[in-house]
Amino acid sequence: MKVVIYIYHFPRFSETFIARKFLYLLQKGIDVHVVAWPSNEQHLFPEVQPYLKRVHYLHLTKNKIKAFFYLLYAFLKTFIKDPALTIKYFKITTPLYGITKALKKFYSEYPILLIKPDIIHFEYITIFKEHHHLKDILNFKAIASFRGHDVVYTGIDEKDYYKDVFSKLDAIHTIANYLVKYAKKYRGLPSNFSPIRKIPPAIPSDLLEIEKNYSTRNGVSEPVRILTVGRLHWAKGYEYILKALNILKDRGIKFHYRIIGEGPLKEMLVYLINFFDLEESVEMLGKLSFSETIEHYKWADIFIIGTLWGSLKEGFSNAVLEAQAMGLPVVAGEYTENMKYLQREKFAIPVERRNPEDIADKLQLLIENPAERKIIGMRAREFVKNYHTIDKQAEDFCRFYTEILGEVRK
Amino acid sequence: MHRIAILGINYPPSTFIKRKVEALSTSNKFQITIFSYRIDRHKDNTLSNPDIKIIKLLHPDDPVLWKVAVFIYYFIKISLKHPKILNTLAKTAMGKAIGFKSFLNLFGNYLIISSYSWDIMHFEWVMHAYSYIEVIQALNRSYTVSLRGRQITIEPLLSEDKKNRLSKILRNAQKIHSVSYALKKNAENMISEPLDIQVIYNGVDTELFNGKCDNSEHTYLNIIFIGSLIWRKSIDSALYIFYRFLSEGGKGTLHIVGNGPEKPRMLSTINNLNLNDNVVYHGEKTEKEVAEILRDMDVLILTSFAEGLANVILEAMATCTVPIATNVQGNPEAITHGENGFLFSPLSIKEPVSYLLKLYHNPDLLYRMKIKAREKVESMFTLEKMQEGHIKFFMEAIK
Repeated sequence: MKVVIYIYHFPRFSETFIARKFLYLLQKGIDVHVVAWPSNEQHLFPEVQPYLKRVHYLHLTKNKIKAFFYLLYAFLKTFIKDPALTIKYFKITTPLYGITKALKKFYSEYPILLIKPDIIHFEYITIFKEHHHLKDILNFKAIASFRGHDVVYTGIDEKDYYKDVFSKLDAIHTIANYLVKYAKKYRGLPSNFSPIRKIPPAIPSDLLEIEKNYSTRNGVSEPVRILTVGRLHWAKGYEYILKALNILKDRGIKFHYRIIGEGPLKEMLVYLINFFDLEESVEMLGKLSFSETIEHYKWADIFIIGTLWGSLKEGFSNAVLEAQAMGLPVVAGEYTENMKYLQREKFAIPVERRNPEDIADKLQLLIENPAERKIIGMRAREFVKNYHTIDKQAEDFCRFYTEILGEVRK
Repeated sequence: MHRIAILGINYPPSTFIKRKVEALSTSNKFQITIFSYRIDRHKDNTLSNPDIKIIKLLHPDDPVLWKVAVFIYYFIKISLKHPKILNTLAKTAMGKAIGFKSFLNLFGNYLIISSYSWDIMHFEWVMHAYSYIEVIQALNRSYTVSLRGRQITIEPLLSEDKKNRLSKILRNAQKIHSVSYALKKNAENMISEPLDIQVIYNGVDTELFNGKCDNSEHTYLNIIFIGSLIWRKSIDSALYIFYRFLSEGGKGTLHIVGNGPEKPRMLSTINNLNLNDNVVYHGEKTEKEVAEILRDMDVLILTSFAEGLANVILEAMATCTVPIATNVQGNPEAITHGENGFLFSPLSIKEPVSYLLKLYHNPDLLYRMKIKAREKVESMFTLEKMQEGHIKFFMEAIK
């Protein structure tokens, strides 16, 4: 089985699970390759280094002369190996995109023409949208992932953005069922599309081994420590958290809130922190390395995230799973249909999205009950251990690929 | 006739600047020259008075050859007319520019503004003045600025450098115009020394923005959100307030007018809250189209985190549309809570939802507030009042 993983940049810390999957598939004897743009976080993955010949980097340059030579190299290499395929490639892509764009596409796809894989896993549906014509050129099974923003809002203002895309896919991997529901309702995914495999997000299991000391801080004599890790982007709903903290402040509750992350909404956060008079209790720490972030997970009593979609029940984002693995009680939004389940299982605290009053109430409950924080934190750890470790995820992917190929052989 | 130069606005200007410039030019007291970085004469909203001069300034995105030609032309012109100031202009540009390209742009623009005759330079966007203070002083002239919103409410928070720049601009200005008392107070709190700030409210064309203040039986509310889809306007919370209004038994349609980077957020929130059947998205509209749409509306919902004094509140009130708006900066100067509209704290949910329900269940109250809203605009926010204010402002500044 020859598998290509197509991703934007590789390896990246925020996508550790992809590096782990790559290594796991190799371990299982699968001929796996990665096609990606380079990453500046390679040094964080020494375990990947011995296998870099399986990572086919595409070079990004604004220098037109350099770009010409990269392209010439790619063209000659592909043409010498398989002239018929190269000609077929341009016969199909030139009428679709014009020669300039076809050449650019060719450069970003030539490693695939050389590898001739059985399966290509496009790690975001948005990547497959850029390369779906490959299905008319090569014989392979196309799998694309639904991960969140790619389904919820990318290209949302363009009608039928994914129209031609779904019909060329052989299988979908989703991190959660709500994304499939959303795609069927709003993004044109055919209601009878199959197969769709849910393999939830996952984090390295070594986080489960880090000891967590639970504090008795209750917001009266000593401020409770609250943490968010996430990009400063509108999708994360930071404004609602800040408003909730403003409500808590008015209620006389002491807290210390730290935000780890960078992004386009920094200006909004600076303004709202000032507007809600939170300068003394809110810190913006910017982007930190993973090891530094771990120290802040240890520091915190509560983790909160304001993301406007996502499901605690199905395993929220990586940052949330990391916090849960470190034994932190998490406060986040949840879909109404999962609320009862979460209230029963108690491995996280669900809140109504965009509702600062509800967020403040739920935070207050946790702030005033250190014992409850410990119970929820410990259950969160169990939850991650049972359902969201990277090894389990890699195993599920391996099985998924085998099944998809099994269908081909039939 | 006094000569006013206005620098740093795009052409055609946004609606409220257009109203101001036209009001000044029709007074027959001033000759207006606009120095603009971007000019698009094909767009709507161009100025109707042909006596207003429009001069293109250099912009980093302009074609290089064009920039070189303009630069040489104005360089020769100044060399012949005022050779003594060339050195000052070049030195100032060198002090302000970051890199050679930026130096040429700035020097070029200094040459352009020095080539024309004007008595006073006005900056509609206060921060633009920073690059020109020394040049204006070298030309022995003075400048005025307008305080409008973001540049006074948000920018100074972002860095000490921005705060210092703003302080320098305000301290050196001949006179300062503010669109609200709230912004005036903001500026006064920032600078310890006394500033000459005059509040002149923006005016509304009450002929164009003129709705029916009817008291017909309402079975639903027509609610409108108007504004750029940017974080400051918080379209997401407007949608959530509307969602809660519907969940609590209200009936109505939310109309959205505007465009911007948060459009994907708006569309995904409409999906996530299942509001597709209750929201009409109009996109970006011209002033006339906005006036037309407003005529059928009952309530304006404005969820902004920061506003100088939102023009859209004035336009809505003029059109008998009751504003429910955040109590930020200048908004309370137009809205008297409970009388001609409602105010709430940004990101609050319960209060704005309760106001919407109140108006939905009480058509008489809605009618009374519509009348009061229109009256307020007629008494305080007319074009005539604005014109009077600006004429007085510039006459005093030029003296």
